[in-house]
Amino acid sequence: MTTFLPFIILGLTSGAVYGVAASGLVLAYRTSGVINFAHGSTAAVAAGIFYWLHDEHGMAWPFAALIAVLGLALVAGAVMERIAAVLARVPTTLSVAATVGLSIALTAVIVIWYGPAPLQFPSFLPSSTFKLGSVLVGYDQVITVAIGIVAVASMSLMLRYSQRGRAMRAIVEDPELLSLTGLSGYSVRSLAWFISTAFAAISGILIAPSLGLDGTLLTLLVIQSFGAAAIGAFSNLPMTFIGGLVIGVLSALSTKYSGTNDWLQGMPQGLPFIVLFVMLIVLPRRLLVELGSAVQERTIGRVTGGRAARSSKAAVAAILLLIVPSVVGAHLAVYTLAAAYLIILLSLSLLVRTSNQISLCHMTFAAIGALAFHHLTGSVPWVLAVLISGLIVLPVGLLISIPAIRLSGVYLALATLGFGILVEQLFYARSFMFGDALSLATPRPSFASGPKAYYYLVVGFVVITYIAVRAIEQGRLGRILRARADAPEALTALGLNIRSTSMIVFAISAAMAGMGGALIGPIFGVIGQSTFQTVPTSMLLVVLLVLGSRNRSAGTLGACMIAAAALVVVPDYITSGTLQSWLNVLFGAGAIEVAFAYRGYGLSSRIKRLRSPGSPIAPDQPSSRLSVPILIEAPK
Amino acid sequence: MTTDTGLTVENLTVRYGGHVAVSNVSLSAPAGSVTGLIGPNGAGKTTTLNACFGVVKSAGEQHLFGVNMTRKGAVGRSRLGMTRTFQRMRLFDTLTVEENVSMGREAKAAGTTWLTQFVSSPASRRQCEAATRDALNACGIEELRDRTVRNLSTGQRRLVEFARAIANEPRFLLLDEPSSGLDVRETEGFGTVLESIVRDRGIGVLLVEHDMSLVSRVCRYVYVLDFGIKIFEGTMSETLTSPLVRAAYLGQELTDVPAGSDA
Amino acid sequence: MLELREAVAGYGDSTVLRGVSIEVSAGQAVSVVGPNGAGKTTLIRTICGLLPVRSGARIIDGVDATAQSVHAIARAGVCHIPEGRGVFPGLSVRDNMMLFAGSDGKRTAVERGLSAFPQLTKHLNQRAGSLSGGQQQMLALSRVVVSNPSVVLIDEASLGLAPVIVDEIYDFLGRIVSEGIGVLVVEQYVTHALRFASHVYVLQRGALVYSGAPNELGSQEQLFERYLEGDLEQSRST
Repeated sequence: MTTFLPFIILGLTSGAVYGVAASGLVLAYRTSGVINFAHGSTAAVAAGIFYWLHDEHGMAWPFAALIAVLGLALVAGAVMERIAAVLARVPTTLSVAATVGLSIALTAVIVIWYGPAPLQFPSFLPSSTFKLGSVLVGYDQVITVAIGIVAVASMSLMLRYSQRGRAMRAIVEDPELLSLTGLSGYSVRSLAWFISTAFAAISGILIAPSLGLDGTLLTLLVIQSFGAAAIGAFSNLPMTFIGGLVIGVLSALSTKYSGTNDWLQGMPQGLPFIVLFVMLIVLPRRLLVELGSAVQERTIGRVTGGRAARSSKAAVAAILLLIVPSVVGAHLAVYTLAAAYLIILLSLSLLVRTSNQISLCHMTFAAIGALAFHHLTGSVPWVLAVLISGLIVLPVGLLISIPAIRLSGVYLALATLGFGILVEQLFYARSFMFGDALSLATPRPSFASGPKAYYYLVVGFVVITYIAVRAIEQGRLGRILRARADAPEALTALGLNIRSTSMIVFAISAAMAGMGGALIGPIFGVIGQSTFQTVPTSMLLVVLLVLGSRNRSAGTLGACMIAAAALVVVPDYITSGTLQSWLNVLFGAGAIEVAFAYRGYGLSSRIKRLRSPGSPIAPDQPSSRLSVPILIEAPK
Repeated sequence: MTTDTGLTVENLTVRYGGHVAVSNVSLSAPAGSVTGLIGPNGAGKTTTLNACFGVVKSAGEQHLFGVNMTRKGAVGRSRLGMTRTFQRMRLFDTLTVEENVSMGREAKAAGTTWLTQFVSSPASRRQCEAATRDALNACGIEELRDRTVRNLSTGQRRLVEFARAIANEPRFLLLDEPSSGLDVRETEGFGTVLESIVRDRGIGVLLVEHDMSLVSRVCRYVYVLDFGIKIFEGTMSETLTSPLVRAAYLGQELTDVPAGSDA
Repeated sequence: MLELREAVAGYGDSTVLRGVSIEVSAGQAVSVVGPNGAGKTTLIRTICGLLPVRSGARIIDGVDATAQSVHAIARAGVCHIPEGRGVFPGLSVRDNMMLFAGSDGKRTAVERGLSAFPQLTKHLNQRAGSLSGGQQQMLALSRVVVSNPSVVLIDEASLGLAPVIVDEIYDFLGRIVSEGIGVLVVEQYVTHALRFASHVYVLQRGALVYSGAPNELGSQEQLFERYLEGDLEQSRST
């Protein structure tokens, strides 16, 4: 027992932090219908504020903590309620992209503030210890667990016995009836966001000393609380907290063994995501009903403009792609990278744009493709190696289609995020993936060994991918996907098995992304883990694709080109790290703006309204049907 | 059991938790005519229809043209030649009228295997086109074919949903409150379309409907539900004169009603 | 007290109410009857603000409330009990009653609620969703005594309930009318509604076809024929 006890205590400490973060996440979700993917970044910002007050300005830690928690919660209570009110009424693709974008923006804020290198975050709780039996226990651990229990217990008591708490439970069940009793939903939801943010802030400040002030790491750590939320089925708060404790303890115990057992390598970090992924697969579907009213609406409408407009746009795109090597000089490698990303984005657009499904693990598909290519190259002809790499990723796509069959919208987004991080944490460092090697060789083919020739080769693959994606969009599968995004139960009623549809589209998309990944390696000749990160690269892909689709005349290729340029080309021309971070802030804000624009609250309609006061807000996209009076002329 | 009986439902019972929504209801709806299923709000009409389509769990047996389909789900029943419409319309809002109607046939052709979902043969495409043309024609909405469905009025949308079901080339059709949201004129137009299609194609229809003008016009035979129980069945004129039916609609206690009706 | 003037309302692109005017004054018992799909629920949702008045006006106590929000209208004394779901099913009976009291008066809420429906006493800690249909309707109606409204709107007060319970509910409604509260009952079943009301509106296809005392409406047989055949004749004559 004594050998386990230290790990259990360690696990309870981190588990209490997960539990607090997860409870906050669930409370906001249940009252507003929005799962806040930026929950972790909020925690990181709180840690940043605390660091500024306590470590830089010498404020006593209880005051610094109080100001960081309350200040952030007050702001978020007001702002997030407004944002969530809009996000609850837009298609899931847009609402997920918005909070994922917010997460990227907040993480960038930390980098702007404290620089890209993680800062040491000194422990502020008393570091003395006492003996429990034969085990040394830190007072900081006791305080952390106590804070967790007090926070969650007081929230539970509030929910149970106060009028506000009753209203919060009631708004989950029937917001309409609540307003009929004379209580405004606004104040109830504001309070929920206040508490949710306060809990994220508390968990961020408590966990920061063990991690340092690192935006990405802190974000990732609080994303671990999604696993705890899944144990509580995204609804039950006490179970969520217990789930946090269980995950914390199991992670800590796996730390004990991962040193000696190879197969447990990466388990402590990966475990919460295994829990998340598995829970989403095994939980009964009725527990995973999406909240929010517009979840079945399509994200991105048809491309406007006729055939002529389309071919002229295609011509512009082709010319742009062809002249790149002669005008960009030393930047060519980046453009080649952009072209490879273009393939990954095209594959993602089949899901995000055509069938309104979200994948937050497309870089995982790309990583597997790249690795397969590394192993194949040399033994198989080069082009064949790329194609086979895609085929190897195909079954991985089928695996992801299991949650895609069961889950829609935000839960699918969570499952894919969980899958991406889990593969990254658990397998990237294994010998069959990247292993310890900092880089793995991925050569260019002999027939296109120069940078220019290789660029054209990748563009060739882009053209083929685009033709394939276009054929799918225009063909039967595309029609079915668009129809399914609007009304899946109607397709079922007409005799179509929509499970097969999910499997096909995920398999195809994954295979294409795998090919894109395979093509990345030879640009630099080597690949490493850092190219294929779920946080933030997979997340950025979705955010940028949605941003690129903001203008509906862009079309599939246009949207993907804008996204690829924003992802790698623009940052390459920006030498200042701060500027790059500001760019990410812009992307995040842009993703939120796209969601607002969908409901007719976008910047452009606001500006139009300023110019001609008195005219009502004109939605950028018709959100309600036009009323056209008709008389049915029955056939004689 | 003869095959021309279309849909037969025996002893259908649906429970939600402890609550019995539909209790021991039997009915049959022949091919080539419209059979009505009426009753006050909350009588269990839509639940019965959902059970006939296999989307809610139920006890009892259901046959379609002599084939036992009790254990089949929605896709399986649809592949036996049955489809349905929805009271809250489930249209492909971002697609055009033509694409919506065409999907009625194409979904059937795409079916359950991944290859047919992925690509379509020229023959299958021609089939879809023909079915779409016929359905648009039959419903009188050819001139709407390029309009996006999202922008149509409720009356037009009802016709699109109906045309989509027709393009599916069903042998049996379940209609769930097709007149809701329509005005008098539109309801009348819908009735005309429905009558002519049933006449021309010989399909069977089970119509759940609250608009009595439509029911009395198109239905040959009517079943009346109340509190999840079948309280009456008979021809339209029998139904209109039945004291039991009147009691159900007005909320009288059954004891007020003279005995002797054939419930 | 409460008035809707020439109100037009509906959902999305469809117009359900086509210019309906109704009035409920203090201590008046009003019924709105009509067949399925006539727009009764739409009418009641428009009165309490869940649906906007597209044209026309909503007036409460002589003040124009056309543009007010649902909770403001509720605070102004309009108590709407929606059809079949006037309670929060996951909350206990006690919590429901306390919520009904709104921001003040929650201390005595349970006491007042139980005084109206003492049958609920032994179910106080039970989840509202686990009560029988009749008990749920009583709990929903307890909102009337807990929240002190001036007008009560009830959508399908008797739908799916046993006759004994329906009698009890109408007894209760009669009591609150005698206390000076205006009550508007929407019913598909007309028997009770006609017995209860001093003023009846008949709604058909979103428009009023009758407004007046119940005894001038004619026999129930005639009304039934109107339900079943009126539409048909109407459509044939157009």
